[in-house]
Amino acid sequence: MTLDSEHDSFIHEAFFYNDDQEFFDRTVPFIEDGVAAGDAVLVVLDRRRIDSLRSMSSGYENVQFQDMAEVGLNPGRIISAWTSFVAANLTEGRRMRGIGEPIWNGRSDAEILECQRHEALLNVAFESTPGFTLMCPYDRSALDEQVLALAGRTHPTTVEDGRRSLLSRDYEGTDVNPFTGNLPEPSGAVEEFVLAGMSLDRVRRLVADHAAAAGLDGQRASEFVVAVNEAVTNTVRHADGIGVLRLWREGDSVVCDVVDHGWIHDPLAGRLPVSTSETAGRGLWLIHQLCDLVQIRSSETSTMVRMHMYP
Amino acid sequence: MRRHGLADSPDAVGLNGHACWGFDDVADLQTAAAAFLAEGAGLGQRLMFVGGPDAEAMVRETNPMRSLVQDGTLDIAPFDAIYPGGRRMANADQLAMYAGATDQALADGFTGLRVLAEVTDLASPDGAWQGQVGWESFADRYMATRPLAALCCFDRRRLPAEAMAGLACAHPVADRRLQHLAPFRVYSQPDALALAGEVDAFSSTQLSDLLELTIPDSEGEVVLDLEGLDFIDHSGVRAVAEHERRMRERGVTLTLRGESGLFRRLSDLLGAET
Repeated sequence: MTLDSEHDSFIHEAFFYNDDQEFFDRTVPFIEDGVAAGDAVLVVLDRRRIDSLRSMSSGYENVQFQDMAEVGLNPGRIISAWTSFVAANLTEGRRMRGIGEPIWNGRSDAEILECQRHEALLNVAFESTPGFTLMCPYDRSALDEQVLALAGRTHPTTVEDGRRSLLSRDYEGTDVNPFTGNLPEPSGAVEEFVLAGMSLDRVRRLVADHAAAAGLDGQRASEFVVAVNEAVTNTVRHADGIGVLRLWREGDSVVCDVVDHGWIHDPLAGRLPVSTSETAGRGLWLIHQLCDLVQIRSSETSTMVRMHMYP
Repeated sequence: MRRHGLADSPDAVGLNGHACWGFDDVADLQTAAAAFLAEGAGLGQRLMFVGGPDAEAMVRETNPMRSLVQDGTLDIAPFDAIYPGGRRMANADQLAMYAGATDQALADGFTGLRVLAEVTDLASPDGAWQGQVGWESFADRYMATRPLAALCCFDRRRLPAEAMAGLACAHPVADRRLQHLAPFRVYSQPDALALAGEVDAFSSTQLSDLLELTIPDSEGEVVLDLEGLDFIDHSGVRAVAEHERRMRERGVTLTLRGESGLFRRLSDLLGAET
């Protein structure tokens, strides 16, 4: 079987469900049809949903399941997971089906904002990937009306109340800039440092001290240090080392901003595993892998990388 | 455990200490030399000096070295006798000379040999510093298990930063003032090569180059101990992985030991990348 991008173009569908019944009525046949057709299937949902699906059928040996809380706690990591899935199957000419529910009840506002940007970027990342259908469930009973409305803008098609899929009138296309807008100013006590003239090892010590004072455990504190080190390395490499580092706490989380005058052009920067020598992209990719939430804002005048590490 | 790290003074390197010092002027060299020799005298090691004419004059003319020379405690070895023609012999021959002197010191009732060396001349001609780094690393393997200590002093004013950096990184102990040049160190433990200190995007190329200069002559297995690493980023992890691959091509198996959870995490992430 050969796939071509014209006739088997990427399908990215938002599916609104009101209860468990509706959720399973659509997801179970979607998986089973895929299995019957010999498609590769990857399901990225929360652990409870995965357990339920597994208990419903014994025919899922060839279905891959991944815990969205691990894969996508930071939404900036999810495209990487889908990319690996696609890379493993596309060369074999297999069709691919995915279910991914990145937004769940309990997500913070900042996470939801990044999830929406992630959903928009999926259209960019897989625009020319043939034979890939990705279904994104949205829990109508638990999510805000505003969040549900935005799903229409980031998905070319939507499914309401278990009916047929419809073209989304609000779909905004693939001309996506995930770096627009401003992030809220930090609140509370903020430690601010000018990066010019500061050595990287001094930056690492500042971040390590801050993480330790906030009670972050050893391994996570060291991962946070690596992430900030990557961001500042980019500042040195691409912005002459001129920038500002800010450290503060939000509740029990630690947060760090690295602000410089660089400008990130590639909307997918940091979302895809980089195997080339494009080092800035690799740094951002690692930051996404290591942190619990990453927010990047970039324009002609400045770039801000905000890294959150949860307790 | 062998002493390693950055030091303000070479006054506590131990019986098999191996330190790199970058001096600015003769007074600076004198301070380091006095501290290094005092420790050796206290430990009961035979003391020996080898170095260029300016350094030799300093040793002969200023105390406490002068009185140590006068009472026969400190031997001044003629530079040409140790380094004929002002050059190092082949590594194995050079080492045989120092190993013989160490054995002789033990036979004479000392606890070992301690060498104060001012060897800027060996490293200063164009490109010669790489050979010197190879030698330091070669000798360090021997020193890891024998009571031979050395303070290798280099005149910073006469060496390019790149050379000073390479030399400092190839010693277990380095002058703290060289920290910006030598954020990490590659040295020998009795049963392993060790990498300690910090490696980031601005030192990982230096690490690759240094590891290349430490490649053993024979086939077999080398353990690289990472216990002393305080920080490493993805470029450093990649440099270690590249070294492992190059060694394998030469028939040497490189095994890692003491790597942190973070090192493994970064290795896994980089593996996922390709």
